[in-house]
Amino acid sequence: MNDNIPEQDLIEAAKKGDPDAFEVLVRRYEKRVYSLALRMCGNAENAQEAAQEALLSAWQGLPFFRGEAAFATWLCRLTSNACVDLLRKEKRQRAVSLDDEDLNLDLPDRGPGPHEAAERQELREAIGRGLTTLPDEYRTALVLREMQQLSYQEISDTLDVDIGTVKSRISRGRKQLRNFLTRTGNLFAAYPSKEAEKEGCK
Amino acid sequence: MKYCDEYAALLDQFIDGECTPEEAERVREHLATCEGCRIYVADAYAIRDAFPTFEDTQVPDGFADAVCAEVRADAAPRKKPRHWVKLTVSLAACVAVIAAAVQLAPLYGGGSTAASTASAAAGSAGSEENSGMQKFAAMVAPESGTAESGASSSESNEENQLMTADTAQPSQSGGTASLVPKEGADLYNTQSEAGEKRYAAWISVTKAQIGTLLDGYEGTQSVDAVSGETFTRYELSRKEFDAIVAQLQNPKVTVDDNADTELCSIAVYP
Repeated sequence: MNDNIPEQDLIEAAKKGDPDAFEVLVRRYEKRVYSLALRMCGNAENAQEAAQEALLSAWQGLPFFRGEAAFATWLCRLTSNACVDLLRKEKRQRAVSLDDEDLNLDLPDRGPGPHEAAERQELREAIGRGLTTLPDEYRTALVLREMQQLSYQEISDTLDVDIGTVKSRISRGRKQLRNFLTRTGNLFAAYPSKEAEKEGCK
Repeated sequence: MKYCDEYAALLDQFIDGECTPEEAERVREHLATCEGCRIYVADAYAIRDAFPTFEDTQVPDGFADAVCAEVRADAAPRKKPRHWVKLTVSLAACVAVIAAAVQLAPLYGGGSTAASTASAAAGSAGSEENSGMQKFAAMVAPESGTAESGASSSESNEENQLMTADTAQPSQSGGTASLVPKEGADLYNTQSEAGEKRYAAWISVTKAQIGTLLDGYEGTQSVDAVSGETFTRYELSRKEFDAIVAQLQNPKVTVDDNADTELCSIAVYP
């Protein structure tokens, strides 16, 4: 029944302090918020903390939400910020870098399956694992690009770094992820490609 | 087969639709003759095509319940813009109750009854607005009139003390020094050794950039020590700050990891 309530009505009610309205919004968006946090943070524990933090920020910050951007966009922005915040705090406490962890990963060598759908699913899972091996900076930029489809400018705004840094992080992150996938047998080192003929620029 | 180093960076911009039409043309011409770069672009599309989406993520059981429980716990004292107006009204009510009690006291044979009446009234007023009272006290102080300013003196770190009958009396407010914005720092222990107030995070914006986002909040007029320019400073909790910044275009937030405070600042320049 709650599914039928227009989002705008829920936002207005939640802005006035109605926790029931906000709960409906939380349940509508929990998957989106959590999955973004999971991919950005790289592990479930941090993802849960960041996602919760983002939703609580939304609750407390709702009086400031003017609706100029979509609610979903705003929430994703809060989630990205919460993840970046958490990773930054963690980094200060952490002695071992993710690069080192990468070398110690013991991952099964998965070859391509017989069916395309199965292969794709396999690749998807491998990408998930590969993302966790990337340095935080590369992973967050790449996830915002590939999962949220943000432009370089939007990523620059979200991560508060200049656009040159965004370009470099995405480029390096993608190359490292590709190396991981090639090494684990999820991408083939050489095959003829039709995709390469696609238009790259809008 | 490896991609060409010369095109390494440009290929990603091409894949992301972020290069100029001229660059795109250059990449296309190159791809026609270079298999290594073609394979790189194909791999990037394959990765994009199979990239995890939110649909296939399993949210941990009870996640939404935990968030909603937090929200409900927070629901009563939730802060709103214009909160300071309520605070002023509550304080005015306290003063009125005290004045009435003091006048009535001789009729009922003793000051102790009057004091407890005033305390009870002040206590109930305080409980309505208890969360965030300290922070709002810092925001209210420079803008309020004499009675409220006295009550929001930085002498007290305790929320309840802020609303007691004693502090509501101007004669015991600790003097007018507490009217100066800087004193709010005492509430948070946020002053650096140089005497400059520290914030967990801050941002400088123009009035045009911030638009109506801070409507309802009271800022304090300040002067930029370097440029001499006048600006308005708004002090906010971290969550309030994040909620606003998330709506700005190209925000440049500075974070102070060593600040012993959660208080954040937005400086609005004309």
